[in-house]
Amino acid sequence: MLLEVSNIKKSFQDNLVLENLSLSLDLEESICITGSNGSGKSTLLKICSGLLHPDQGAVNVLEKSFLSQSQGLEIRRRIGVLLHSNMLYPTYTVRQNLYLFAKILGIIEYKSRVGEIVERLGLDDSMDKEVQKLSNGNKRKVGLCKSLLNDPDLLIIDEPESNLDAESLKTIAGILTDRATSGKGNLFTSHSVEFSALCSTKSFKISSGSLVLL
Amino acid sequence: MRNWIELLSTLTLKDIGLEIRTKEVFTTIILFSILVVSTFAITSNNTLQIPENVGAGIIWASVIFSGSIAMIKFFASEIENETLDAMLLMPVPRELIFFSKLFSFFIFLSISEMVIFATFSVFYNVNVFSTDVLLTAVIFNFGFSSIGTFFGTIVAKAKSKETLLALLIVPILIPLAMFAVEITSANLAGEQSENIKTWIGLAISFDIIFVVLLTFLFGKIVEE
Repeated sequence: MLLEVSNIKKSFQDNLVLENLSLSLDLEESICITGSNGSGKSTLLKICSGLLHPDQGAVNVLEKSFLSQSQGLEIRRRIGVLLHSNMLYPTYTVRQNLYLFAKILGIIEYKSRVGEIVERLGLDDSMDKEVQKLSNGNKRKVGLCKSLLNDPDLLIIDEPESNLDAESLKTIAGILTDRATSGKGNLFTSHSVEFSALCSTKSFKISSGSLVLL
Repeated sequence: MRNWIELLSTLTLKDIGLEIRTKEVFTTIILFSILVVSTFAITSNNTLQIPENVGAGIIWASVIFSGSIAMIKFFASEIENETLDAMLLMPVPRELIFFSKLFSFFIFLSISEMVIFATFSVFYNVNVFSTDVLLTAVIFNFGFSSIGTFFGTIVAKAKSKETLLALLIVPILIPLAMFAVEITSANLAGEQSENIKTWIGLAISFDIIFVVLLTFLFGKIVEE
């Protein structure tokens, strides 16, 4: 099992966002979470990636828990995360950003790995441009490159389609599908029914803090 | 252990690389401090007769206030671009994130202080540079950087962060400031403080206690 979320509850002050939410994601699965704005999609992804802790319930990623520091480090070594923000250093170039994160991830042949991913996402020409000078779509692609650097067992993405054109969407859908068929897992949120249909094996909707299978 | 050292140097060099591009921290500390030192010099009737402890107070007060403003800039960009979260998502122990920030700020502060000391020396016609003062600066900067890193992370998302950070760190820094002023004022008088060993011992103990305590607490506060 790549991800197991059991009966989690999360609230921010008086605002109850998630309640008794459970989800499991196995190898070769690609799960899409949909829901209206403010329904708790991003909160769920932040909890699954260890950035937030649930008030109640348990989250196990790759059969490990974020509550243990050593297990948390092991999980982070094996997952890739792209949230709503691309989380890049704007004054660094694309190359500097990707090399930095690859080094932190401990990838030995990091230059060739970065080259591989960048080529697939068509960012070769932007490698020496500062991130702050890129279009929003290209920034999103760099963020995606960053989350794919370690060829993660579980990829967590918040709205991968945002700011991307139709051609790029097809590429990303292809990446997600290839990952699922090669035994990895994907968990992503989306507002696009077409995108979800292209690359998910299961879809859920968050409604009143819980998941409903679509 | 080797991996940790490599990771720490990668993170510290990243912060230094970013600062070389933006120069925000250096500019803030150096300009603010020069402004304070020069304002005092210009408004004093005779800068050559300024009491040593007042002179030392001017130096260290300008370092504390300019450093706390710079600390906010140092963290504001991390929060704005969510790059602190990016680091939290990486397989990096929280302690290393704390130490990398501490070391980076220590380097920025130390370099900026050399400019402040030189400016003070010119305006007041005294030589601030001495082994005692440089050692004092190292001990002071280490404590200031650890306390600033911790509280800078806490207040970075707050609205009145500059005021809040100064209010939080200045009272805690008082023992270090007293130590720095004591050693520096003795040096400005051309002497060595009588209690220099005691002061250095106390200041190093202060640094060790705060670094150990804040390293532990940093992991807790960045988790959520």
